[in-house]
Amino acid sequence: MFPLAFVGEGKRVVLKYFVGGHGIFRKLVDMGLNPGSEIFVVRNQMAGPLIISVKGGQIALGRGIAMKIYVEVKE
Amino acid sequence: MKEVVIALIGNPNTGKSTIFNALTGLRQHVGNWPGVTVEKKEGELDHKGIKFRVVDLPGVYGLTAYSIDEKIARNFIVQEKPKVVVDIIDASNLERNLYLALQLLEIGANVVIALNKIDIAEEKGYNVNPEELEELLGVPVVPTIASKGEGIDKLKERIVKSLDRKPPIVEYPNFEPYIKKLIKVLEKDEKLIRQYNLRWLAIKLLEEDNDVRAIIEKSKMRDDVLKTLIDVVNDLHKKYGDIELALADERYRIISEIAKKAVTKKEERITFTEMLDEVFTHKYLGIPVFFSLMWMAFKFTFDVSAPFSDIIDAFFGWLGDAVGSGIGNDALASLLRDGIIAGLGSVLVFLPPIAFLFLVFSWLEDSGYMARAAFVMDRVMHRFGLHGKSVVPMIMGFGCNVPAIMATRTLEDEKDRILTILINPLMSCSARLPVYALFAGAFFMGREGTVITSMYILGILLALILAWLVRRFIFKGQPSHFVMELPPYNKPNWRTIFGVTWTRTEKFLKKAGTIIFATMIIVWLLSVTGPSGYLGSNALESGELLAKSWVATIGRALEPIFKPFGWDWKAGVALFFGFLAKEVVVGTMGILYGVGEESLPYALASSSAFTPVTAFAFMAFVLIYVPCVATIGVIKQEAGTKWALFALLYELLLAYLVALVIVLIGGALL
Amino acid sequence: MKIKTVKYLTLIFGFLYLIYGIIESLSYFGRETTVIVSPTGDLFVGFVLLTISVIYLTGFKKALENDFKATSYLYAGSILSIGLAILALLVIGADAIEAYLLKSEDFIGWTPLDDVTSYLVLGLLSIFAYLSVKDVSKKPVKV
Repeated sequence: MFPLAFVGEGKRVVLKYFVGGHGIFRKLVDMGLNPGSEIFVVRNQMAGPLIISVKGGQIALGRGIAMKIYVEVKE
Repeated sequence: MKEVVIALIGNPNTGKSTIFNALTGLRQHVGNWPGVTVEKKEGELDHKGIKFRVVDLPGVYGLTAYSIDEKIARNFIVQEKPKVVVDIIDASNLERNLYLALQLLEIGANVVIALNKIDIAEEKGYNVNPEELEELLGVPVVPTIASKGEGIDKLKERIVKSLDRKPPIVEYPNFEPYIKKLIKVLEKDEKLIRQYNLRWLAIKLLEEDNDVRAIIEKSKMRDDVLKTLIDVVNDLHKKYGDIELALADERYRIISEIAKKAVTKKEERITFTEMLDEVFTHKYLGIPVFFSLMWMAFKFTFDVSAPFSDIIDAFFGWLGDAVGSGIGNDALASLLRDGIIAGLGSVLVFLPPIAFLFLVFSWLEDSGYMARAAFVMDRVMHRFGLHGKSVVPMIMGFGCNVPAIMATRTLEDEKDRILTILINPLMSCSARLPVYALFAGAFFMGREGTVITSMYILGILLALILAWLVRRFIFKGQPSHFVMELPPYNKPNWRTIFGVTWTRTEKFLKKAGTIIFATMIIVWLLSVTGPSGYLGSNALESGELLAKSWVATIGRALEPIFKPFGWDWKAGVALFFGFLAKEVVVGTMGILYGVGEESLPYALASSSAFTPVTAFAFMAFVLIYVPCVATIGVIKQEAGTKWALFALLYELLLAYLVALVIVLIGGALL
Repeated sequence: MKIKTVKYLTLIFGFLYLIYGIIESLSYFGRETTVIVSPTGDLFVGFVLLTISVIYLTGFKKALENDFKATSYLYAGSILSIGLAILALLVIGADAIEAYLLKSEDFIGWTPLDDVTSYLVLGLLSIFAYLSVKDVSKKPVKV
C-alpha cells in the first residue's frame, strides 16, 4: 500500500484508507472517495495537485492530501 | 392562500441554478442566509393554482454539517421542513450524486429527483433509465436537460403530485438492529418525535454528529440515549472499525446496486471535456493557456465595453451642461452639474467595464474552466501560501478590486479567504492605468510600455511577498487542502450567465455606487469652498482658485509627509482625491495645473515638481497607497472592519516604504 | 477521420500561428513586418499566438507517434483560435460604434480593415480545423 500521490498517470487503484484527521476526509467521502472505491489517475505531474476520476466524476486533489490517501494497485 | 415551501438541493455543478431559474423565472429574490455571507436565493412559482416559494439551497456533496454550506442546507431541511425537496442529480455522475439523495431520505425529506444533464451522460456513453431509478429509490424521478429547458414542465407536475407523498425509508441492512435500538429509546421523548425524524437522529448519533448530539443533550431522555449509544457504538466499533466510514460504505454499496440496475454503459467514448482537458490541464501548456484566456477576457472587458462607457460619459456631460446652464444660482448649478451629475456619471462610467468583466468571468465559471484555472495555478500559488482558488480573484483584480474581492467567496477556508482579500488591492486595477500612462508619457517617453509593465509586476511581487509573510507570521500553517471537482465543460448557458452578471453588477452599483457617489459630493464641496467661504464653481477649472480651497489646505497639510520624495502640495491633493477612485488623480492634476488632459504630460514634464525618479516613485505610490473607497467598503463587508483597517494601514506604510526605497536608490544611481 | 488529416492540419496551423506569433512578438520590440496584415504591436497577442502554435505542434508530434490524443490538441487549438477570432469580431463591432455612431475623436478615419488582425484571419481559417474534429466523439479517429 502506498499514497495516492505516488501513482502514475493512467493507473487504476483502489482506495484503502486515510491517515490523519477526520474533517477533510468526510468531504472526500461525500464526493465519492470512500474506502473501496476505484480511482483512475488522470493527471499526476509529480508536483502540484492531481486529477483523479472516481465514480465517473473528476476531482482535483492537492498533493498534501493525496499523501494521506493510501491505495493499492487494482488486480 | 398559504405559500407552499419547496427547496432545491444538489451537488455543485449539477445545473441547479439553471433549474431554479427555469422554475421561478424572473420572480427571484437574492439575499444572504442569516449571519453568514452565503447567498440565499428564493423565487416564486405558480402551478395548478398553488403558490410555491422555491428556496435554492447551497450546492453540497453531503449533509454532514462539516462546512457552512452543508449546515445551512441541512438546518433548512430539518427545521423548516419544506413540503418537497427537489434533488438535482447529474446523470453523468450518478453514483456520487445519489449519496446526497440517500442522506436526504434519511432526514425524511419528501424528495423529488430531477435527473439532469442526461445529454452529457449520453455523450459519456451512459444510459440512465429514469423509470428503473424511480422504482428502485421509491421517489419520483424526472429526466431533464435544464440547459435546453427540457423536462421542466414535467418536473413542476411531479412536484405538485408529490405534495402529500410519504417518503420511502432506506434501510441499511448492516445497521438496522442498532438504529432500531436507538429509536426505541428516542421515541420516549415526544418532543423529539414532533420535531425530528428519529431514524435520522439515530443515524447521526452513530456518526458522532455534534449538532445532533447537542439536540440529545437537551432531551429528557439524554442519559438513556447516551447509555444505549455507548453500547451500540462499542458493538459496531468491534465489527467495522470507523463507524462513519462503515455507514458511508453501506450507502455507496446500496447506490452501486441501484446504479448497476438503472445504468447501462455503452461503448467507451472520448468526450470533449477529456479532449480539452488534455490541453488545458497539460503540465506545460496549462499555464500559457490560462494567461491567454485571461488576456482575452480583459481585451473583451475593456475594448468591447468602451463605446458604452463613452455613451454614458457623453450623456452625463451633456446633462450636466444642460442642467447647469439652465440654473441662475452658481452654487446650486455647480452642486447639480459638478457634484451630483458628475458624481453619478463617474460611477456609471464604470458600469460597462464592470458588467463586461462580470459577464466574461461568469461565462468562464459557467463553462467549467475556472476549476481548471485553479488546478493549473495551485502549484504556483501554494508556494506563496495561497490557495489555487485564490488565482481567480487575483486576476479579476486587474480589472477592478471590488468584484475581485467579492469573488473570494469561493474560498471556503476563512484564512485563505482573508489572505486573498488582503493582497487583492495590490493587483493593479484598471483605474490606476491612466495614472501610469500619464506619468510614463511625461517622464519616460519611448519606454512607456516597460515602465507601465513594471508597475504591474511590482504589484504582483509585493502581493506574493505579502501573502508569504502573512502566512508565515499571522495565519501560520498551510493553505487549506485543495479539493475541487472538475465538472464537464458546458456550452454557455446565457440565462444563468446573465443572471449572475446582473446580480453582481447590481451589488456593485449598490455598494460601490453609493460610496463613490457620496464621496464625489464631499470632494466637490471641499473644492468649491475654502477657509474664505464659497469660491464659486470656477474653482474646479482654475488652479489659482482651487489653491484657496479646503482641498488645497489638505494638500499643504500633507506636504511635509511627502517631503522626502520632493512632491509638492498638488501631488498631495491628487493623492487625497485618488483615495476615491484612483483615476481621479489624473483629473485632479489636470485641474491643478490648469490644463486639459491632452497637454497634461507636457505641463508635468516642464514643471519642476517631478524628476523621472520621483515620478516613478509617485507611480509606485499610486499603485500601492490605499485601496479606493469602494474597495475598502467591500473589504469591510467581506472580512470585517478589523481587516479593512489593517489593509488601509499596511498599504499606506508599504507605499511610503517602497516610494522611499525608489527615491533613495534612484538618487544614489543618478 | 484519419490520423493523416490530423497530422497535416496540426502541422499547417502550428506553422501559421508560429510565424504570426513571431511577427507579433517582434512588432512589440519595434520590428514591424507586414505579411498580408499588419501586426498589432501587442506583446500579449504574440504570446497567445505562440501558445496556440505550441498546442497545434504538440498535436502534430502526437500524430507522428500515432497517438489518438493528437485530436485533442487539434480540437483545443481550434477552439482557442476561433474564440480569439470571435473576440476580434466583437472588437470590430465596438470600434464601429465608436467610429460611426459616436463619431469619437480617436476613431476619425477608422475603417473596419484597421481591425483586421492576424488572429482574426487565422481564427477564421481555424474553422476548417474545428470542422474536422467536431464529430470525433461519435466517430473516433482511426490510428
